[in-house]
Amino acid sequence: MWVESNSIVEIIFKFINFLIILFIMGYFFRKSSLPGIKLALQDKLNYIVSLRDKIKFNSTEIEKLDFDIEKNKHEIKNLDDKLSNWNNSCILQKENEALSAQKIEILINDKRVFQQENFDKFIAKKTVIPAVIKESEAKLVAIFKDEKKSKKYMNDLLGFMK
Amino acid sequence: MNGKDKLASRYAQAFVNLYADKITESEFFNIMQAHDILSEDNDILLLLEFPFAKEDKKTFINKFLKKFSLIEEFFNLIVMLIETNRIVLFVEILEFILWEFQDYTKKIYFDITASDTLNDSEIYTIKRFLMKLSNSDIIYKYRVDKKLIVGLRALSSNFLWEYSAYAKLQKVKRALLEESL
Repeated sequence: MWVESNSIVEIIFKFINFLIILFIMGYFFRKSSLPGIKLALQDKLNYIVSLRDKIKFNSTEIEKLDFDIEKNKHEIKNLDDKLSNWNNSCILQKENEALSAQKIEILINDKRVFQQENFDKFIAKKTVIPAVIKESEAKLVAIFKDEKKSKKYMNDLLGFMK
Repeated sequence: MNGKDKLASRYAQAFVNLYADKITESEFFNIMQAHDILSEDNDILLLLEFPFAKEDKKTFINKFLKKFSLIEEFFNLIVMLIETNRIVLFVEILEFILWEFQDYTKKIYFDITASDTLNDSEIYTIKRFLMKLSNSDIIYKYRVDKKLIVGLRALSSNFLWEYSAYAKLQKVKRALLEESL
């Protein structure tokens, strides 16, 4: 019975001792290790949070970059189109310039022909025609110096007037 | 017709209305000659504007009329023109008198030019022809111009009748020049 009661007390004391030891351990754990663990956990947590932020930031950046890439692709396409248009217009302009040059050449040639013709006419007007008229006049004067001829001409004329 | 011409025309009309009967054909030609000379050089008209003594001016005008063989009726006209400072109109007045005279007498003046000397009968033929052509009596002046080569030219203010080698040459020349344009 004693043994039994001793044993129960013993068990209770043991239990209390155990609790005290547990408490002391808990106390010391709380006093010494827990802040360090807490701090370490907090650090780890902070690190994880910062990593998560970084991941978030990076994914946003990646999205932005993707968007930029898309935008750049569009711009490149636009530039390509513009370049192609400009190239086409350059070719067209070149063709037009070639055509204009041809037209100008034709016009210049026509003008040259016209000038040559006019020059010929000018020469005829200035020299040939007056020379022909002068020569004809001299010939007519020579013909009608003959009194018979001039008299006949005048008589014919007067005959018409009668 | 400008103002100067209008005024000259009125003087001429008045003169012809008053003295048309005194203007014979020979007077007509004298007026024409005076007009031709004065229109070339009218300095003598300016002399008439100088402030001479009255008698001197009268003598000067008479000499002027004698020089151009103009009828004495022009004396009053000249005096009036001098007094009104319009003597510069005298040449135009003479020209309008020539016109008015033709209207008044219903005769048209022709300047007849021939390449050779013509006898009276030939001139008469030309006169008759021109009368028929203009349907009117004519006054004419005849002269020889060798420039025509051969042929005739009759020129009035409204008519030109020409049949000469010179005219034909000019026609050919015009045609050639027009063709070369």
